[in-house]
Parts: sequence; C-alpha cells; structure tokens
Amino acid sequence: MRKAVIIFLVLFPIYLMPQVSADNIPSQMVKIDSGEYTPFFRDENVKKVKVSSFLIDKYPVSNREYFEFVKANPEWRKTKVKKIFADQYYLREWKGDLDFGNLSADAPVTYVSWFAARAYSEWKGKRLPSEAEWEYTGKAGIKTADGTNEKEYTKKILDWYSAPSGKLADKGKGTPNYFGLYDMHGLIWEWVDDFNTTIVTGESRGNTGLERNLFCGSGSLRSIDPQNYAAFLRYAFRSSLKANYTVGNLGFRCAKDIKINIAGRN
Amino acid sequence: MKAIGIVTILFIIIISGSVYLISREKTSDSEAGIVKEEKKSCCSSDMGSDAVSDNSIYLLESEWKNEDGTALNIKSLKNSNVVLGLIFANCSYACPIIVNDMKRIESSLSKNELKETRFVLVSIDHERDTPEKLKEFGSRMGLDLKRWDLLAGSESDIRELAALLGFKYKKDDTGNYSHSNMITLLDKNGEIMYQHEGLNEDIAEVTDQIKHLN
Repeated sequence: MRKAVIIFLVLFPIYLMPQVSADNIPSQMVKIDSGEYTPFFRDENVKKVKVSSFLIDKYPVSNREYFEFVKANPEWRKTKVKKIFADQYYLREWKGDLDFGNLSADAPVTYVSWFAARAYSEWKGKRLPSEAEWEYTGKAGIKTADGTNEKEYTKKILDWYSAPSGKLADKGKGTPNYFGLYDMHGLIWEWVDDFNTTIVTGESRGNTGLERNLFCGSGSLRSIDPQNYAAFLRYAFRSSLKANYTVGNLGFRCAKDIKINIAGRN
Repeated sequence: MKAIGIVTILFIIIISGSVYLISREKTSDSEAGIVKEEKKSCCSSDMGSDAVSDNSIYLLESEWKNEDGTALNIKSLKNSNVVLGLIFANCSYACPIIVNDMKRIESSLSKNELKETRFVLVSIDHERDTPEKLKEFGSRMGLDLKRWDLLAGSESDIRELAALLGFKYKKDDTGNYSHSNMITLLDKNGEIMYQHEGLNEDIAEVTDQIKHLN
C-alpha cells in the first residue's frame, strides 16, 4: 500500500508538469518554418527577405473574440476608447460597448485600429505579425508555398480586391492556403505590426527614402505579374494608413514567437 | 521508514508547487485583463496634474532610458514644450541635418522660451543605440545635454511612438534606416501642435508656434 502511495506521489507531479516543448502549438495557431521570400519590389540590392520561424493564427480575430477583449478591458470599449488610439469609426457597426449588433459572432472584427489590434494581441500573450511574416505566409497558394504560379488563385485575389465589399462572411469558410491559414485573402485586409515602414515618395524629401521605387518608376514597372500587383496593392494600402485609422474591411490576426514554452498550455 | 517519510513530504511539496504554478498559468490571461483595468482606474481617478487629455501622446506611458542610462517615463516630459525628432546615431546624412534643424530652433528662442522647452531625440535603432552611444552622439553634435534628452527604448515602444506621430521608418540590409524627416512640436499637455517635414528648410513656423505656446 505504502509502495503504491509512493509511486503515485512520484508520478503525479510528472503528470502535472507542463510540457516543455517548442512544438507545443496552440490549437488555433500554425507553426511556420523559417524561410525566405522575394518581395515584389525593393531596390536591386535586396533580393530576399529572411523570415524566422513563428506561430500565426489560423483565422482572423472574430467579433466574438474581440467582445471578450473589450469585456475585460473597458478602456477599449466603443465609447471609452481614446481618440488618439482609435478614430471615430472604431467598431462602427457595433450597437454598443458590449453589443456587436447584427454582425455575425464568427465574422472577422473590423473597424479596429492598429493600437487596438496590438492591445488585443498583447492581452492574448501574442503580437501582430510583421509585414514580412504576413507577406511570406500570404504569398502562399493553395498547393504551394509560392502561389505565383497558381494563376487561378492569383486571379481570385485580384477579383476580390476589385469587388465591392458587402456584409462580411464568417471566418474559416474558404479553402486554407498551403500553410493551413484561412482567409488570408478574400475576406478582409489585415494590420501588420510594422505597417508604418512604407515611405511614399512625396514624404521622403531629402533622399532618405528607399521606397520611391514603389510608386514611381522601376519598382512598379518591374512588378508586372499579377501576383506582384496584388502585393503592390497591399503595400499601397498599408502606406495610406495611420495607426488610429479604423476601416470597414480591415481586421487582424495574431502571431507569436516560438520559444521553449514552459507555460505549455493555451 | 524514516526515509520514506521524508520522501513523502518532499513529494507533497513538489505536488503543491506544481499545482500552484499551473493554476497561476491558467488565470494569467484573465489576470492580465484585471491588472489593466486596475491600472486604468488608478490613473483616470487621479485628476491631479497627472491627468492627460484624449489627444495627448502621454497616454502612452512608455519607459525609456536617457543618455545617462536613467529611466525616463515619456510622461515626465509633460509640462514642457517639446521639440521632438526621431533619429539613429549611425545615420550619416539626414539625422545630423534634423538635429541641426532642431539646434536652429533652439538658438532662435529667447531665454524664457528656452526655460519652458525641452529638445528630445528618440533613437529608432534599438539594437545599436545604447545610452552611451547616444551620449557620444549628443556631444559629437554639440548638444547642451541639460536641455536635450536622447532616448533609447524597446523596439515595440519605438514602433508605437512612431506610429502615433505618423513617422515611417524601415531598416535596410546594412542595418541602417530609411525614415521620414520630421520634427514634432508638442505642447505642455503632450498634444501635437505642429509637424515640420523635410531637411534644412525654414524653421520659422516651428519657432512661431513655440512663441505662441508660452
């Protein structure tokens, strides 16, 4: 009997111990292995951008999830938010502070600012993906990591960019891309942490901007294939944003660093 | 027998330890929310001189280090007019010009105006710009460090401040940055009064604005 108790005492703590494993991926996230990709523009010297391995949400953040966030963080409610962190259209279609009205609970939350998306991510113990991380995973087609050759897929993205947006569908209804991510295209645009990197020509007086290639001359001329044109539209869109802007088809998803995760459970 | 007793006690301690750790983890999410609420109520109920307006950049409350390595909350700049530039010390072209433009503003102000005004350089290079390096940059640029603060911060806090100011920047492959050229004037409440863009241009508008603030 005593022996049994001792064995139990020895084994029980081991059972309770959180798993220490880098591969312990939270259920709603996907692990992306490190890699590199060729951005559609950049000056001649920059051929490839390296991306370290990271975790990224399978789906964009939904109204239901965002509701939990504002419930726990009153300063991010519709009527409480500071204007410097979110403009007057913040959560425009919500009926009240804790009421998302006629919107579907599973549709992506939109009309959220960069500050709000960042605060949500932090609350979740996550962060926003970088532009490179987003583009690296967003470049994927259905079957391949580089969707450039999947003509059908690229055409769909461009069709979506030019289509008027109606009421948003629920997340996760389409086909996941090569990495297993849903809704990278076709539903909403998404915030990235370093959205404020693209310097448009007019601003970079004094020759400090490398991004002049984006809007005038060689850059956009070189990017003639449609996949690049889609990426061009995303860069152009990001460069038009300010951190407190909220827009009807702009939401976000979270990312996370990969660490040896002693917490282990999510 | 005695040994078994000791082993048993030891395991009980281990069990309670792990149970404690796990329960702490599980609540950490909701705790984070609660902590934020408390933090907020603490500050918004404090209607003294610490209160800031809805348009104040001091809503950020981020922690920085000045050129002496002393911790400095961005809020502590409150109650001064602030002339603020974002730079990096390794910058060979634009940043020295931005600093020089700020020095021109400094030299155009009267003694009384200078008393009310601080000049702040925030580094966008969180990897290379240590307080020591910023101090060295400051003395190389001939800055009066009694009136100037050179701030080093975390990548995330830099990104946040830059986003708030509408300042754009990007690191290139050589570790240098391309960036907006911008000087921001904040009033004593931390609201953006004016933003001056470009290099080596007329600074009269900034100077005028400061005179109006006093």
